[in-house]
Amino acid sequence: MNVLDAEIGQVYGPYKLEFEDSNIKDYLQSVTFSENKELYNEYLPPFFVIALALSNLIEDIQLFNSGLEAVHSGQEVIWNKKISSNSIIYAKGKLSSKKAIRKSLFLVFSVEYKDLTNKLVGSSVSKIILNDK
Amino acid sequence: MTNNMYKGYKFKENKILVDQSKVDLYAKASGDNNPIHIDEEYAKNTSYGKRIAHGMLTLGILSEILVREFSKSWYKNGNIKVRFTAPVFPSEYIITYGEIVSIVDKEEKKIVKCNVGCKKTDGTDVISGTAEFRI
Repeated sequence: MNVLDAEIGQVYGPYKLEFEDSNIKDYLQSVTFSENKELYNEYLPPFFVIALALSNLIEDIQLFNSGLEAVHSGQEVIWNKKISSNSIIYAKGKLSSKKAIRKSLFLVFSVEYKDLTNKLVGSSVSKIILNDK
Repeated sequence: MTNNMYKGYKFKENKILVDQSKVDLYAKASGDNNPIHIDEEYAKNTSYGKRIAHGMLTLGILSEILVREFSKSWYKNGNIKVRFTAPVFPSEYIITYGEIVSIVDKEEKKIVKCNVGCKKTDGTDVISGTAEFRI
């Protein structure tokens, strides 16, 4: 649902996240260093999981069709365990705050990440501000 | 504990180029294809006037600095809370920094808390916040 129409509590997803080798390679190429790469032979860089979930969420809330300019103003990430690169993770988002102040809309999205056994493996909070262009 | 695990330890500063090829790769890998990151013509008409790097790209780099500093202690569990305070434009350098500010015993583990961030070469902060992990 378009975020402009959404109310607090609106749920997004769950998004099924799978991790293709080519995407992992591209991600690592963009953020990491050669000496770190061998650590990721078996496990994912935790922020890659968050990045995938966030891109799903951004598309779902139709952020770029809102006619407003989006600013990612803050991010929290918690993860409880290493995530294997052949895992499947379900990310479920929720609009947890929405406040209009002057000509800006302040949004907070909370996301929970669970594995196939429904065990919570992490969570994140993204703060986004929409401003008039 | 490794020899960098003490209160007051300052991370080695790293100067890292954030170029458009990294932004494009990040967009491809993550699926975040917001045109403000990848479309120069679109970006010209935004308040920034040009393309900007994804905040999560810069944060991903910062996380990798923590991996470099603390290896598995960081990536097997942890939490980070940051504010994005300024955009990073492709072809700009960022300088990462960090410091351990406390190590506290909790439930037979130690909680290591760090102040972390990235700034531009002119000193402008682009990310600042805190990171914690258990050892």
